[in-house]
Amino acid sequence: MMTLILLPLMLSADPAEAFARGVERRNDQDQAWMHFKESSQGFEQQWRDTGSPEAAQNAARAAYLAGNVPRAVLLVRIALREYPWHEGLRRDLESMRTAILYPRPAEPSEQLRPDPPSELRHFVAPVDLLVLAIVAAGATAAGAWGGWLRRTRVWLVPLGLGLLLFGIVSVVAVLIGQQSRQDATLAVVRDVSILRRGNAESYDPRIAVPLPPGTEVRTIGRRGGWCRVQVAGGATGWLPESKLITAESVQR
Amino acid sequence: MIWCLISLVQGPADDPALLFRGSPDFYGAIGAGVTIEATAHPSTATVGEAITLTLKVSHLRNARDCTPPRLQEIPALAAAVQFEPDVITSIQPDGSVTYDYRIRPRGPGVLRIPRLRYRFVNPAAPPGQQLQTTYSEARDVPVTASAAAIKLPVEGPAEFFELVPVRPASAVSPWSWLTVAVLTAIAIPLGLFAISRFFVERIQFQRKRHIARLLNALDQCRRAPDPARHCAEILRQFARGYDDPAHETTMPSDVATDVARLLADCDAARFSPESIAIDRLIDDARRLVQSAGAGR
Repeated sequence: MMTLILLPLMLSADPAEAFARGVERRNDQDQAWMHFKESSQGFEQQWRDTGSPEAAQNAARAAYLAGNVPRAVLLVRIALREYPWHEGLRRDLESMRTAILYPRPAEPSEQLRPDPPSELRHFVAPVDLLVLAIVAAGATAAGAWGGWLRRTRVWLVPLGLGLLLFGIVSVVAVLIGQQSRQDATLAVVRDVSILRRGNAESYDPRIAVPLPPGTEVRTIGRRGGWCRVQVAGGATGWLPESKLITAESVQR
Repeated sequence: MIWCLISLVQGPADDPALLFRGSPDFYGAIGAGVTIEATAHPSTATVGEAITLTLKVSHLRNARDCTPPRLQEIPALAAAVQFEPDVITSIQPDGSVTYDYRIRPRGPGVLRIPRLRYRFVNPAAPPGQQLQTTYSEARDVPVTASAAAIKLPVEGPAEFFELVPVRPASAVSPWSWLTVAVLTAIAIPLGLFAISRFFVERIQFQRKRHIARLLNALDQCRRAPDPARHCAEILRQFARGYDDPAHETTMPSDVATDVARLLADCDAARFSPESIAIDRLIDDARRLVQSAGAGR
């Protein structure tokens, strides 16, 4: 009952104010963490309500300053899934990864630190494609119109260029769509965990060193409270579900 | 009593050290005869004052690959002290590694650094078997109250302490905009194509009607009192048709030559009717108008 009464008050709390209070008390970790945590929750709610990538960025920053690096990483990754071209999110993700103590991989497949975001979708915004599509439409229309009326070959040039641009826009859009689908099964290691060869503690470690909190993995399957995951280098193994925060748990 | 350990190894049920379960227990250590030793410096402290808790692990083969044990996950220790986030790791050439934790007692009394043990893998042992060190000695650090407790700061990149201005996101996904744009881009040329076809047909229709009117007038002019003048007038109308902007074309040079020749013949026929047969002149004009209409 009390929760029901307090809920509107809790939701109406301004996350920016909580953040400012956290910054004010940044010299007292215990106090500051409390405010940053409150701020992070507020910005997460704002993100769910508005879908603004900046709200997600603020939620992730507040979570990071509240000492919850895994959640911060996950928030940024989920926001990047929706806004892969967002430079601020990409920069924050790299800063967060710098703070994670990734062990040195014994072999390339055991690499835990993902490469910096450098796929096509991270550099091409939909607005870029939109502009290209409009230019393509204009050129194609001008070429078709002029060619039909004037019956001269000169108009084939804008027509051809327009169609070529259309082709480029279509290929880029398809590639970006394919790249985005790879992020569908994202999870982050919540606590130091050993990647095992099977779904029980009795199995040998797949990677000798434990995965540090904040390690990004891709979930492949689930069985008996364990998740089969793939690390950045490509190695696969099993982790207890309790040691993971999945994208579904913080989905918009 | 803060008897704790950093191991998950199943021990006897009455082992007083097994008060706490659930912390990570393996940090990637490989070696033989691994030992662990815990020391605290200074040996006395005030509340909030930093104490360096040094954990020395010896006889490791992969000291570089081991991660620092997360002592902050021992609940009793976490309750008694505040941990600074950074752990200083020093690797010695003899295969030992020291982890320096900066801790600050939260209250006065005796701070007990619990006895600890450490898991490792010995390659010479049967595969998969993990071993443990013997317990380190527990250390007691007397802590006195201080006037003002020292507090730990929050650390992070400088830009993280600033908020990003939140801009309202569009209600429509940018990808939807793109889809709309691509569909529009496809629709526009198709639409223009359809419109142009419609207009061109209209133009062609008007042109045909114009040609038909001219041909009819040419037929009529045979019965006119001055057929050559009428014929010349119709030819001028035919030529003016090319100036109509709706046609968007100019008179071809061969047609222009023919029109000029026929106009000259018309003038000649007017002033000396016997020199040119008027019927042949009208027939020539008809053919010219007809061919121009068919060509368009």
